[in-house]
Amino acid sequence: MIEFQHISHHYPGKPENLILDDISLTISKGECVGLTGPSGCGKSTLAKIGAGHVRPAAGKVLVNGRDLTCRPNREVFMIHQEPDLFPWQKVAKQVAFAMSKPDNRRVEQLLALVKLRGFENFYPGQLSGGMKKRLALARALAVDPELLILDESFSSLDATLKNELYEDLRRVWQSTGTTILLITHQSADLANLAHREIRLSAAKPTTISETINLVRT
Amino acid sequence: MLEILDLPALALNCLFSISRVMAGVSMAIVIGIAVGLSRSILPAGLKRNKLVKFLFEAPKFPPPIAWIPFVILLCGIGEFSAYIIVFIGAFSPIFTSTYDGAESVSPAIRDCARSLEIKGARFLWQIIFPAALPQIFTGIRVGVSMGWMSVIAAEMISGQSGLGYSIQLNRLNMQYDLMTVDIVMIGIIGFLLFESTVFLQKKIIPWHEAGGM
Repeated sequence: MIEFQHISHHYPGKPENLILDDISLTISKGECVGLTGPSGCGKSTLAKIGAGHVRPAAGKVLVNGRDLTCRPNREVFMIHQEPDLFPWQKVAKQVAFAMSKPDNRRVEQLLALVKLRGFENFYPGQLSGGMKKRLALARALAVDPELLILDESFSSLDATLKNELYEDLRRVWQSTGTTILLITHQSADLANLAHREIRLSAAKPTTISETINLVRT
Repeated sequence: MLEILDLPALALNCLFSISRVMAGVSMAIVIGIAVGLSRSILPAGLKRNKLVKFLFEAPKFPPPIAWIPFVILLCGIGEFSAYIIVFIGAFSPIFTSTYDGAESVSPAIRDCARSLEIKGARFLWQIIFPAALPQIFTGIRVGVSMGWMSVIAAEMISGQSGLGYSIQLNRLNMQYDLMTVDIVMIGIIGFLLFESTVFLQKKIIPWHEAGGM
């Protein structure tokens, strides 16, 4: 279980400019939660706080009761909006590198899961945009995190490719049961995928405006 | 002209100059990368400190040729002095590009590595160094060119052999045709040295050719 407890955050040195105000949310094991909100409302900041890359002004991030606030760790892994693959590592190496103990069979399984078999010896620069995102997903699964955060990871792709990737993500999630926090500014992206949608408010400072339970098909 | 052209002597002079560049540039690559990466891991406060910045940046402005009298004074006239002059010429671009390359590694890649719990020397060696390699190679290309120009200048002033020395000798003998041959050779070898770094870059970082990210 992952808990964001009373997270507040402001710009460095400007406590009067509060970005996030007392945000609490709990994500149970195996759940897929969508976090939505308008651009600039602090979704990515919350994601970075969750992954331990940003220290919140107040509040804690607990993973199975363990305080991992501002401690980057393998328990919470984030796929960034910007390219975060290592361009010098080939596809198979990229996935193996993320494992705590490299296992070639597992690498093959994960590459098959994201439909990248046959591309083991390609560099990320030789892959298409969609393939890069699939590789990032395979690498994240290789980490085997308690929580996988996708921070608008597919937002730069065209609509068809994005829908295809969400379908892939759904398939991956069904087969692995990984707990997912899916951050997007479009509620439509969550269709058929998320258990619930947590909406952040547009007004500053950002709070949780509502939580909607979604029916999964 | 061609009847007085001593081809074995010319080849020997070329080899002397090339070997000095190789030695000096090799030293500059090892030390430049090490110092550049070390600077990149300084605490943010120290990196922004004007005095620290001055100490790292100021020594690169005096041209290598200006150091020659000091190098002769400290190391005498000999091979080692030539290596040091080449080193001075090649070090700055390699050091600067290594530091810039390390500093420009994207926050997403840094965060991803930290999430994988890659820390300390492993972080520097497995993440920052390979990510900075394209820029390091840009520095090496400039460094090789600078080193080549520096060795010719050093040989002209204090050499006992090499293409720079040959130019001086031919100038004193008023053999301007042979001097021209030396200059043409300097151009050809300089170009070949530059091209060999491009070749090495393609071999060592093929992923950069493949489109990076």
